[in-house]
Amino acid sequence: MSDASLSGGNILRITLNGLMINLGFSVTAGIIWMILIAVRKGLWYYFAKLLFQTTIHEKEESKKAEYLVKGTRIYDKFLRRTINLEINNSKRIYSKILSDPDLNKNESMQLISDSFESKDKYEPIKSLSKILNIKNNATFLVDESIGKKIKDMAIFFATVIPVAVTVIQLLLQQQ
Amino acid sequence: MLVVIPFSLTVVAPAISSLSPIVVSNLIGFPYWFSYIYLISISSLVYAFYPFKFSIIERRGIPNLLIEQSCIKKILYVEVPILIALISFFSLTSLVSYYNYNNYYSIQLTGYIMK
Repeated sequence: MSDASLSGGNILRITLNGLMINLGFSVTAGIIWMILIAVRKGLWYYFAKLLFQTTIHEKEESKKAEYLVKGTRIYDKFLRRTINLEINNSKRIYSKILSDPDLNKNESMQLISDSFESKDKYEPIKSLSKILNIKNNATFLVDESIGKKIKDMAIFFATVIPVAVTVIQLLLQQQ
Repeated sequence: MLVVIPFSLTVVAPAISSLSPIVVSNLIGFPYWFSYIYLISISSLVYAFYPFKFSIIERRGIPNLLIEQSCIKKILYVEVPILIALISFFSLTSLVSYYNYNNYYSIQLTGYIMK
């Protein structure tokens, strides 16, 4: 093997360098994938639909609750992304379904799931407000809060910015 | 794809290189032809662009997409800190070597002036 100096330090350095290159591509691919999914506003509706439909078929109660919570949050996200409105305190929906003794949990889930079968993507809003039994429907949807906007953007930038800065820094150092 | 390719290449590349050392270039005196093996990881970028067309997403199915999304999130939570740590490590070592390099020449220069 030529006159190569195969000291442990060199091999470790080269392996770490290779790992950095490989992970760089992998992380970039992952971030691009996530961005392309996030950009498609309609996908969040299908994610919510899928989660609500799974709640009906799921036998395990803890999983059911998990899908219900996730589905509600994702549908809320879909509303925020498409019409810049959010469900006023979306936590109330799943907390009522899960904890209200007068409310049949399975029936409520079925009602929401059925509303997703409609061609109108905003039909589930009606079923959700029906479950909450809100008298004043005008307050069910409210303007998207700045806090949630900042939170959404913060998650995105917190991932992209450090990686971008460090990659640029590395490229500049190598030149 | 985002886990298997980077980690397996990191292990396989030096191993192949030590088995068949074809010297294309040298890095710290080590035959560095396996650096080209690392270019295979560019193929992971192909995977990144498949959600570009909605028809491909439909063909793969929304349930698979949801599972993939949660998996990629977990992968990124692990890989991003490792990448940042590695980049910081190399930045620090290059900074130290740069300092030592300057220090060495400054000592030489000082010695020369003193003469």
